[in-house]
Amino acid sequence: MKNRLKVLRAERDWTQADLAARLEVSRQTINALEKEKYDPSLPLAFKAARVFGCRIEDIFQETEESASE
Amino acid sequence: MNTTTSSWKQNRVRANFVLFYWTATWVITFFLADYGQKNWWDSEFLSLVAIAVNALLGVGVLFAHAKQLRSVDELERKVSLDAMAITLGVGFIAGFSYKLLQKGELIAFQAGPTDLLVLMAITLVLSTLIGAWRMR
Repeated sequence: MKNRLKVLRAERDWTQADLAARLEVSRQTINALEKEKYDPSLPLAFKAARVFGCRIEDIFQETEESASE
Repeated sequence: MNTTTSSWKQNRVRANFVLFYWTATWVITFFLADYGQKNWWDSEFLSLVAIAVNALLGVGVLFAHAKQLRSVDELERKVSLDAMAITLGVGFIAGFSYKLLQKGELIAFQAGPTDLLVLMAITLVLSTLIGAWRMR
């Protein structure tokens, strides 16, 4: 799954630690999400959408690879 | 947000401390029970008491571990659960393979339960570290 977390975070001038604090996860988890090494759970995706004030699909996009899983 | 975040972090730190406390007391009582019955007392009753205390503390370790697992975030939980799955698999494979080798008299090495526990502990630590490293 692709995501725009890094872009949205940069637009707000937040560090990974800032976003981690807002999402109540570790900074390592934000790093893994941004590098697309890990797909978040639905609750975490909803939380990210709430924090950025947008819809889930504005942050996370399905790829062919993730669709076939 | 700050209050929620700090309470999340506090819960996490507290759960780690509680797990450390229970594990440390379990390890200490394990060695006391082991060393005590060899060197300090010659009483079946005292040995049974020491073993029972150690086993009860072991139950505490289980609950503390479950609580600690709930306190970490979802990626850390995934890394921990993957590591536990690998450890369980290695334990089964090593245990049953050893049993077959022993039955066929193909191995001279005499392994005990402690060897299996050490193997599983090493596997758990290594697979946790590798899992965390892969998610960097």
